[in-house]
Amino acid sequence: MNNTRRSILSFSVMAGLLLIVGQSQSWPLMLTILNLCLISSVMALGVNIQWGYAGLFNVGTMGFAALGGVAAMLVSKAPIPEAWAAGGSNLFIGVVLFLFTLGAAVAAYRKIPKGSLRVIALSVIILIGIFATRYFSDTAIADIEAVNPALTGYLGGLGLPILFSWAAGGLLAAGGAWIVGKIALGLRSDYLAIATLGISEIIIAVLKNEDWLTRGVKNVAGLPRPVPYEIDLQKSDSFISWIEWLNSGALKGLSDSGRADQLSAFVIEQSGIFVKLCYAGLFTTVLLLILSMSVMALNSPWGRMMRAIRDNEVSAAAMGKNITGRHLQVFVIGSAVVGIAGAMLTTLDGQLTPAAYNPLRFTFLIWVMVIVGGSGNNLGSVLGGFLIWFIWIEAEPVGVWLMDFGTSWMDEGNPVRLHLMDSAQHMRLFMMGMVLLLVMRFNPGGILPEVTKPGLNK
Amino acid sequence: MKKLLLASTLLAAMTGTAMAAEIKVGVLLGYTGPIESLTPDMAASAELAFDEASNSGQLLGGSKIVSIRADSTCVDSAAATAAGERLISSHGVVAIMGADCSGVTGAVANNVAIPNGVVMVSPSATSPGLSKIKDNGFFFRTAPSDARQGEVLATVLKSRGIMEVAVTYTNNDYGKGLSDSFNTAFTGVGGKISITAAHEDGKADYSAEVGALSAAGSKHLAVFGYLDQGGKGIIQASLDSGAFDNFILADGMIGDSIIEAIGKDLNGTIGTLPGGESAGAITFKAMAGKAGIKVGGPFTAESYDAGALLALAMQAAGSADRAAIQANIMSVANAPGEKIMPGEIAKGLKILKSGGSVDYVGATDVNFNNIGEVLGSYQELEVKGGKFETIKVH
Repeated sequence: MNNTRRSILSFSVMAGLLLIVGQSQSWPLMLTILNLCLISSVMALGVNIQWGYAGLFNVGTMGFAALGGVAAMLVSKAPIPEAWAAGGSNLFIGVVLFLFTLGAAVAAYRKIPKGSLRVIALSVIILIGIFATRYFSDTAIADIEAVNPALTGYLGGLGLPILFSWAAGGLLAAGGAWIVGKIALGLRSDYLAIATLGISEIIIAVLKNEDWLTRGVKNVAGLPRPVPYEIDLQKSDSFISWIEWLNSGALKGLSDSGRADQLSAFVIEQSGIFVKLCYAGLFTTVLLLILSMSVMALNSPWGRMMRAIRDNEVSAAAMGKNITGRHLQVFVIGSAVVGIAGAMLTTLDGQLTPAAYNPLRFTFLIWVMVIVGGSGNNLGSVLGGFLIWFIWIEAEPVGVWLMDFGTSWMDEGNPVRLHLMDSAQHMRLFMMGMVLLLVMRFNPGGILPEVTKPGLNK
Repeated sequence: MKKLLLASTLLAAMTGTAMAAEIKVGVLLGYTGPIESLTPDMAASAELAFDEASNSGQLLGGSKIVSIRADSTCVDSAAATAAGERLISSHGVVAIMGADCSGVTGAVANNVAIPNGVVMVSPSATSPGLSKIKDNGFFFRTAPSDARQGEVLATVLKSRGIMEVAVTYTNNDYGKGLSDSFNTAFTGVGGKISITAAHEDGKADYSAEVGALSAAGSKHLAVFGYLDQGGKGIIQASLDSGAFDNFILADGMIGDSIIEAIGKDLNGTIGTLPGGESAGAITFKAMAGKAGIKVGGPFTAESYDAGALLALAMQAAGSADRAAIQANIMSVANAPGEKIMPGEIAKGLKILKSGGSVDYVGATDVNFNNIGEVLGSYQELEVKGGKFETIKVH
């Protein structure tokens, strides 16, 4: 089977699975799953850019997704004037002092020749800088966090439309990746993995503890949406008359009261569907944009260079390619894509919950998507994102059914049956492992393996 | 043929076939994830109330409540939203008992339950932030907000003449929220907090944290954490190093396992726990024990009450309709009316059927304020002779 036919077949099966859910469970549920599939695909594309193109073993995806989430909150949430009044000026002085210290340290490092004088000068600058900065920033942080801590206690955001935050999330994650890359990219494969894993935990620890910025573990709820609220739609006359027109066939021939009841049921159900379709449109646009850019990049000379570096760093370096520079570039690009997906996810959730970021969900699940879909193949990552998220959600009802069906010959009160039914939800992780093992056994390159041009090796 | 049969059962399992006079209620809790050891008992407690209503034969002309469990995962908002969506649009539940952790509860309420006009009664989301969500009157909780426990603890300490403490909390929304409310309340009554420091759960050694706490110079240490997690480690490390021997515990730290683990060194420790030693709580403990539910497990009584309230609200409404349940849940929880204790759901249903009114008291003295939250009562506990004894109910 050639690659095009294989892709068409795989995506048709995926679409079929979603349609089955829509038909047999419900269409709103199908759209909920679809929206998260779209976000997961974008995130998987980001990991694929790093691992599939360039062979960078980054297991810090969680940190960059979280940075995207923070950007969503910081862009969209309205500022808290009381908090700015309480601690804004001290915080500003703290930031200026911090930047001044940084500048002075860099200047000293460059100007003073290597030797004990430089060590002493740097130590003195940094020590004084830390104490001066902390003197102002600690007061500022205490003042900010004291402002109505049960409800605010943080600075708030910029109050801009949340759609901007998707770009901002990408930029913030890219900035974070640049710093991380400067520190860690000199390391080779497994060392890089450990370093990125650790750094992503550091990012989460900062988000959980810097309450003045993110409210920490108290969460920021109620982020504004880029799409209408269901409740507002249900009260809007034009939306109601639109639904009435859309369902005129089903409403025909009902008595007045029956008609009103039926109409309000339609309005409630279809307002939810409408909102989800709006989200799906936005996410699809982003996915298609990023996917098309990824495909073009991979087929360009740049993409060939990346694969050459991945397959043999030594010979690529001998050809005059700057390995560390290219690694940093691809690391920043991939992390930016993950950050965009992280911002979209926070937008869809409507809240930032720093404690929710855990490596299983935000790093390893994304990696499973890339591996199962086919690393090095952009369409494969998209398919992996769809399939793995679909299983992640549908494993629960299917698990319950499997347990029920498998023990249906037992007595209703049989302790074995009760125990199995009680633990049916744990089927999720079991199924995820099964899928990974089966795909690896029968299709080691993933469902849609990397495409190599004829004439190239392999 | 066999395949066809299989496919049709699968389809039936996924859609949930409807039968006449079956009322579906969702039980959305984190069966996997950080609190997976608590949720089976919570779900069983809610189902105990559903069974009681169903078996009475009084509910809406002999209807039965069928519980549909779905996994909130406790931390993954996206998965919890999908599970909530499945309950509402696929199974067609009339109300949801849940969710459990505050983060996912907010996500499910805002993204699924409120837009679809479905009542949610959470037995365990205690974050003060949930008081402020725009819920259109569809979100209720039978567990009091953490803000309240902080106030009670501050009063207890003042009455015992303890005016300076060090505070450590587990670094999540529960620990942080409780510590904030306690710090505000305690300084408000004239107390002094020498230091407030977070601890992360799941570490092997807490001596560094304890060192910092003890350096601040207080004699008493307040621990807002979990008894199987970092909280226990903090106490152990404090006793080992001799840094503290007077402890103040919040609800997450109260349980027999902490006394088993630490032993007689805990004598003199004081703490607070939601729920009084009321007649209702004692009845519920006996009922739960008989049903095989871990007695005294956290949030089981709140879960039972959440389930009972939903059953009573349906009966008061005269129909298992989503909006009608919302309209009646407040009136069955609050006075006036006949007081209903745990195990008396049948009696309550009967009174409502004949047009009377009830005031559900239940296992935790349920009384909703105007935004659908309980204030809750708290026991003041002290460890005496190797076990927790109730001193007073606040």
